[in-house]
Parts: sequence; C-alpha cells; structure tokens
Amino acid sequence: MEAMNPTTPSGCLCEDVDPILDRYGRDQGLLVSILQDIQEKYRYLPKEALERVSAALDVPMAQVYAVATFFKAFSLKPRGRHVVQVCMGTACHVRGAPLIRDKLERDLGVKNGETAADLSVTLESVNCVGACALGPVVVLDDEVQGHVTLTKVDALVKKVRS
Amino acid sequence: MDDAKTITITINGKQVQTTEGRYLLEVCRENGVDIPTLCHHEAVSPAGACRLCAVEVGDGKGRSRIVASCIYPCWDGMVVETESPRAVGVRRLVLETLLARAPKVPVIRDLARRYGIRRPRFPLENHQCILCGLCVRVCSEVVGVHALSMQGRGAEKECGTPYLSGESTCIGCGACVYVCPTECIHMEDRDGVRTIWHEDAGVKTSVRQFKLKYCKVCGAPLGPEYQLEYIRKKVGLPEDFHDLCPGCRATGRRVAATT
Repeated sequence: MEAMNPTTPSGCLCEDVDPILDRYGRDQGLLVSILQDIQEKYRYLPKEALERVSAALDVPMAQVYAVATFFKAFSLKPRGRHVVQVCMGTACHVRGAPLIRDKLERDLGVKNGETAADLSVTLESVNCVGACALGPVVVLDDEVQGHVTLTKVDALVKKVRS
Repeated sequence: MDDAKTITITINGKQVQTTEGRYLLEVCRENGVDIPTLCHHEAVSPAGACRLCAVEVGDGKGRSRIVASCIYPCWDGMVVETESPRAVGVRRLVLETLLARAPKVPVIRDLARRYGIRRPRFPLENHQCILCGLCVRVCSEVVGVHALSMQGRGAEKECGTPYLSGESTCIGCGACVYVCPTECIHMEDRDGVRTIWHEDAGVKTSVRQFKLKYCKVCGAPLGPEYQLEYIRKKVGLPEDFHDLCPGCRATGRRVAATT
C-alpha cells in the first residue's frame, strides 16, 4: 500500500504548501484551485501535501482524497518533466492515433499511462482535446501538435530527450 | 417548523396527508407501502445511489415520470404509483445491473428473485460492494470520523479509506460494518485485536487492526482503544472512565457509597 506513494522527488515539505494555502485564504471552497496549484508545483499531488491541505482547511483527509482522485487532471503518482498526451478521440483515432501512440511507446520506452523511471517523461492518452480538424493530435507540454505523422513523432521524441 | 404546509398526496390510489417537502420514501413507508432499498438508512441523509426505490410520480393529469423516492420531496396533489408496470420495470432493470455486478450477494439475489430475475443479460462480475456510499455517510454523519470516502469515478470508482491504506482516522467502531447492505466490510475480534477490512472482488483493502480494551476488574470486552478514547474526548469523561465496564463501575460506586 505504501509503495504506491514513493517519496517525492522534489522533497515536498508540508511548509512548501503553506504559501499556496495562504494565497487562497485557506478557504475550503477553493480546494480544487489549491490542489491545482500544488499539482503545478510538484507535477503531482504528494501525500504529505494532501495531509497538510486537509489539516489547514479543516477538511477531512478522506474528502480531500476523494476530490483528488475524482478529477483526471490530478495525479497522485509523480509525473515526468515532460507530458506527452496522445489524442484518442474519434477523429484522431480514425486518422491513425493508435499508430502514433504505439510509436511513442516504443521510442520513449514508456507504456501508455506510465511515467519513465527517471521521471523524464509521462505518456498518456486523452479522449479529445477539441482540435479534431488537426487530427491526429499530440499535446506536448500543453502545446498542441497537429497533423502528427510518424516522422513528426521523431522530432517530438527528440524535443523530449533534449 | 411553522411554515410546513400540510398537503395531500395519493399513494397507490389512497389519499395520504403529509408535510410538504418530506421525502416520498419515508411517507410511503409510514403508510405501509413497501419500497425496496439498499442505500437508505434512517440514521443518515438519503443519497439516491442504488436507485432501487424508483417509483412513478404523476400530476394526476396523465403526465408522469420515474423518480428515486428516497430523495424526492413531496408536493401537493402528486399521484404516486409504486407498483405500476413502469416503476417495476425500472426497478427490475436496476436489479438486473446490480445482480450482474454482485451475483453472489444474498440480499441482491433475494431481491432479484422477488422481481423474477433469473440471469442478467449483462456480463457477470464478482463484486460485493455496490458503491452505495452508506458506509461513507455513516462514518461522517453519525460517527463524525470521516475515515471513508468514495474515490475515483466511473468504472474505477472505489470505496475506502484514503490510499485504501490502514492509516486513517478510523476508530474501529464498526458502524460501516453494521450498515453495509451487501456485507462487504468485515470485522473480526480475536485475541484482543479487532480487524476491519473492505473486501470486494476478492481484494482486501483498508485493512486495519485495533487493540481492544477490557474491563480491569471482570475482563469484559469494552471496545477498541481508539473508539473509547474518541468517545471519552467527545463527551469529556475522566481519563480512567473506560478502565471499568458499566457493571463494575456501578459496583464500585455502591461500594464507595456504603463505606
């Protein structure tokens, strides 16, 4: 059970979360915003940070955890420095997204939905990024790459590796 | 409440007086109309999770719809049919999906048999937990410990303590064990230790052990240490209050009074 939550690569201390909590006035109603900021800071939600949030906002840990697991944008496992999202929506799918995903899995050495052991990159599939006309679409660190081909994947992998 | 309005509603053709805004399920049961439920318990707020309490509510003019009666507030003039073909059909479908999810759970099998469902047309799974959230509500509303929550969503939704680990605010009271309709939360007291765990599809999660406390005089079991401490702090009892069982405490008081 405990192995699910390895110690944080960034060495998260409870106090690091306090400025974020203060920015939102420790308002219970802003729990999601607070979690978003923590996720931005550590690229995931460390257990220690959630415990700190729970104590500071006086929201039960079970409830904080429920919120953190409900939204797909939150991750409870450490994520890579780069995040590669392959769109698997209908439009991208019919235009060859599975091939793109397979090549990314091979070239990055990471399985879909997983993070490299050295935390360099996370590969995940998403179900539509709303840019169907550009399909197949890959989102590299929040930047949308349209009309992705297998040769374009090489350039993307190079970008991740650099 | 002063502004509570008395209204008249019709349940299965019988006129019934009640208060506006009360939940339909309560009113039906008070009037001897049986509606099956799994996620309902009078001690906690209704959630409308199991959908088994589906009934047909009409305006008496021909328009009607299916509602979950446990979370549907009564209004004046509503016409309720609890056994109409439409209501029973919805309940049958709900039971069919529940039976497909948890085919081995006795309470679901019994209900399914009552509604004439032999074999669901959906693929059978091997769950015990039906994610009704009754344990979560009891833990936060009655006990006030907030150790449990529903986590994840959709097909991956689960029920348990944070990280499904034994580390939680749980005090070992066993309220969740008591209310769970499908008996998927287990409790065992053995050799001075209470173990509580959630078991679904053969996987045990949220496993936690608690040391039990016994009466110092007669040795009668009192409960898990954490729970006794929780009660003691909440009520403001003296620190040694739970050293003795109620019987021995009374005896001690009598002895003290006579000497």
